[in-house]
Amino acid sequence: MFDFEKIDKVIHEKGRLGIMTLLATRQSWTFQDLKAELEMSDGNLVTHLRTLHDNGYVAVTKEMLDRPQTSYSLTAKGRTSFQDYLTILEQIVKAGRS
Amino acid sequence: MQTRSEAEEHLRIIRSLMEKATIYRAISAPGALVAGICAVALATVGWTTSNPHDSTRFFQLWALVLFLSVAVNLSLLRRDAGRRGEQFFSPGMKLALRAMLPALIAGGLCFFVAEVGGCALTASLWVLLYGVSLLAASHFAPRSIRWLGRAFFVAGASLMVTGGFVFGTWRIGNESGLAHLIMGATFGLFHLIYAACTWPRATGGET
Repeated sequence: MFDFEKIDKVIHEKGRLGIMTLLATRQSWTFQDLKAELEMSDGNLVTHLRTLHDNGYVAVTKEMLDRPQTSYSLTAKGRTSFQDYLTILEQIVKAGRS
Repeated sequence: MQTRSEAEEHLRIIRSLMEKATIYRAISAPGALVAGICAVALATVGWTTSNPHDSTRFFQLWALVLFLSVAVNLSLLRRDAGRRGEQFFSPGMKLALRAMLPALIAGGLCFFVAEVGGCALTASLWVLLYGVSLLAASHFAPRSIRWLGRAFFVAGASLMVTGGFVFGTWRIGNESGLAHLIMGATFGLFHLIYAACTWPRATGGET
């Protein structure tokens, strides 16, 4: 029997899962790019990013280019947690097949 | 997480987002410029000097342009991948090839019926299928590739719709010349426009 308590509750929410997935694909993402790709409202995205940041999964970089720009990237802890989360999903799928 | 199906749904979301986030530019701006110049040059020469009914020469010449364009584009993609420290045969390229190959192979197969269908109809099919292949990769391609795909698709579809009347008329006249014109106006001009639109930003963001 699979222990469902192993699942990371921070990542296991569709909005945050989407953010973590995108951050895993590139070095960093700007707020606007994340918003456009995930089709989320500003408020929703800010809330999820804050949760991920508070849990140490996401690093925030603020830059001043031609205008202020905030970028987000996965921390080492965030990357490891995301990989662990994927492994657990795969185990659930495999357990369901056997 | 209660069920296997829920886990599968989450894996599907992850996969879909990762694919969407993988932007792959299958045609470099300099590659498009070379292809466009070759196509316009050959179309101009072909239009003015070709034998109206010599379809074999038409296919030989355009196969040569295709070979040259693909070779230049691949070598430029290889150079760009090297600059970025990435593999040439990257996951993005594999994804693009998987999406584009069916339509490209279908276009290649047109050679087998080219003599029966005539060069103008074959050229129109190439335009349409090239558009389909670019659109098939549009989920992970920059906007410019999507627009290029749409342009080829609309041009190809329009040529197929009007083909019955136009090609029938030209078959009596200079059909080979018309085919050169189709190739020059689409593969030539569209690629030149694409190169012009993407060139200044080719080293910046994905457009």
